Amino acid sequence: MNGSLARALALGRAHASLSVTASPADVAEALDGRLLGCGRVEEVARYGVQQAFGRGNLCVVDAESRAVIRIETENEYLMAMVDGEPVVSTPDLVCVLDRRTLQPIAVDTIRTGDEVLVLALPGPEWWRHDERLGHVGPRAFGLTCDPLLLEAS
Amino acid sequence: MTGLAPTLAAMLASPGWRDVVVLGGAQEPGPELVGSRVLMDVAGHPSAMAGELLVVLLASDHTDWRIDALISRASAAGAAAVLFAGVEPLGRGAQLLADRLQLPVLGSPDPLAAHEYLNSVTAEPDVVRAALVLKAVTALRRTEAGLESVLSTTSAVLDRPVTLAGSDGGTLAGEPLEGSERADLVAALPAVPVAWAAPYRVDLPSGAVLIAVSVLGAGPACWLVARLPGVVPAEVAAVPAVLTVVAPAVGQRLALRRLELERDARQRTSLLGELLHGEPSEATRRRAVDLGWQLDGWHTGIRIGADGQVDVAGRRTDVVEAFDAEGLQAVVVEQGDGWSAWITAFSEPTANEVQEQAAAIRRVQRRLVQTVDAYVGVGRVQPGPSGIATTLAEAGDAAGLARGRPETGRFLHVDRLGLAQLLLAWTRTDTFQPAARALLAPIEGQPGDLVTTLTVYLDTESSLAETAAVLGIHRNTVSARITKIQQLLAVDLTNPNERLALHLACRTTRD
Repeated sequence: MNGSLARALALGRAHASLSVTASPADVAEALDGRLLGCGRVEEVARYGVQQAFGRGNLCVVDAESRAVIRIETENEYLMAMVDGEPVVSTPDLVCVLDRRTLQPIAVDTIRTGDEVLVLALPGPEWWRHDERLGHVGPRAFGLTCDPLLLEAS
Repeated sequence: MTGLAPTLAAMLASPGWRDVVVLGGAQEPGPELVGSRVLMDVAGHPSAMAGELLVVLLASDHTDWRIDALISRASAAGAAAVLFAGVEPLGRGAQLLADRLQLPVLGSPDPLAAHEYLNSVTAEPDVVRAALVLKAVTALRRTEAGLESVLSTTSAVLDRPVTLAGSDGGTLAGEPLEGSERADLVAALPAVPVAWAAPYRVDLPSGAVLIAVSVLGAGPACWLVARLPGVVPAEVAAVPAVLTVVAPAVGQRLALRRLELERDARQRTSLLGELLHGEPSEATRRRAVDLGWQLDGWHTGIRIGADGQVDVAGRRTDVVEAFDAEGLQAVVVEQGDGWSAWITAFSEPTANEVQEQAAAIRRVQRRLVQTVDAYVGVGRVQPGPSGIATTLAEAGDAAGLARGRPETGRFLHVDRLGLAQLLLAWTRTDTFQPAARALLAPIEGQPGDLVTTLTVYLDTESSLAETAAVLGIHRNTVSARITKIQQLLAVDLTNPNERLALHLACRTTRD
């Protein structure tokens, strides 16, 4: 896929140059993403191994607006809902960063009580093609929901 | 239609929603539910609503993300609450969301039943009422004879506690009311119920409602009361109809119970009447044994009089209970406007025992005074079957005296001191003399020396001929004077109590 590596490097550099005191909005802007919320992880539910690996969900309450953010997971973050309304899904990226260190937290290490930033970053343009979208959209992961994509930036 | 909308809290307390639980977004008392709409499963999109309950028939996993999504959509559509199939707890996110959107989320193992019940109480109150009344009529036909079973049947039909309360709110049968609710009920009810009066509705500060229907039967008025924990308008309209159907059945059970009570009372009274007329016959003794009366031994007679309108037969149980509470094994018989009772001992009681017994009887009186305006006389200990008559006669006289003596707590014990001496001693007191003069004042100074005539008449046991002989006047003159005395004093000389009072008064004023 053309440009993947370049994008990864650019993102890595932007992330590395962030100061730990940067505000959530600054972080979202620097990483060219959308801020979904910032607050405490209220619950992490893992469904166990009967279903797909890492399947579960977590719920974050935004410290400021008290909005309830729910993220469906399966090894990666698949879909995010704000106040019960799905807002972003694969193939776009949902990222969870530690509030203090701004380090990304993976699905298998996130815990109840973590203070986090929830960001959405646009996924690769290539997957947005109608023919490929079916393979990476939420339905491919068992979530009966149409893909919800950020505006291409 | 909004007038029929119950609050969520009232619905949760209603019989048709017994198995509905709150899963999240709890509120007190919650929104009003104007109706119910069904959605097949959690993926559905509700159409716009105005305060209805959204019932979701299929919701297998309460932690699924679609539950959160549906809560959000229901809130946006204007639902008053959401009810999901199943009672498993929601995920934390859904609970937080329900709280945030202030949307109560309910669960039920049978969502369709909950939907139909809500729809019937909001849209078809007449059907609810008719169904309850029919159910009550059918159940009553199968119920047993007892009063308790009528109340428990009614309670089961309504699925609410049902009480039979006296006019003071006291429980006669069924589940008792709480103290404060009792006070509110009594305050709202009229003292004398009217046959055609509509059922009463009492709204309590707690939000609960009492529905009261008067039961008219033999004896004092009472009320059939149902307690509803919340206002479901259809139920509040239906319960009075059910109670109105049940009330005559309760009245009939009460009348039967009363009949039994009166029959027993009459049996006791007539047997006592026979005992008071001399030595009892074999048949009388047998009947006494049947009633558990001990005729031999030493008897202490007790007379309990009651002022005012007292249901002597109905209150006998209270008297028996008061004696039992003081550890006295007394036979209690309804007689006139009070009760005659006696306590039997196998051997002659010592002076000390007599004193202790008198003290115990006094405590009995104190118990009774709380509900009955009672005055008590106690006779001396007398042996044998005929002793019952003697000691009761003494007790009766003592009670007559006790009635006018609040300074002794309206209690008088004729102990070793004879009754005559007691009376005499009492007539010399400063309290009695002015009273005696006042009593005779209307005939004082009237032509024909009425005071002397009355004194002689009473001394000669109300004999006109004897009085005429003693005073040396014609019998007709005596008769005319006595009639005049009765008119002036407005007394009935055939009444033993009034005669006794006049007799004493005459003694005092003449000395």
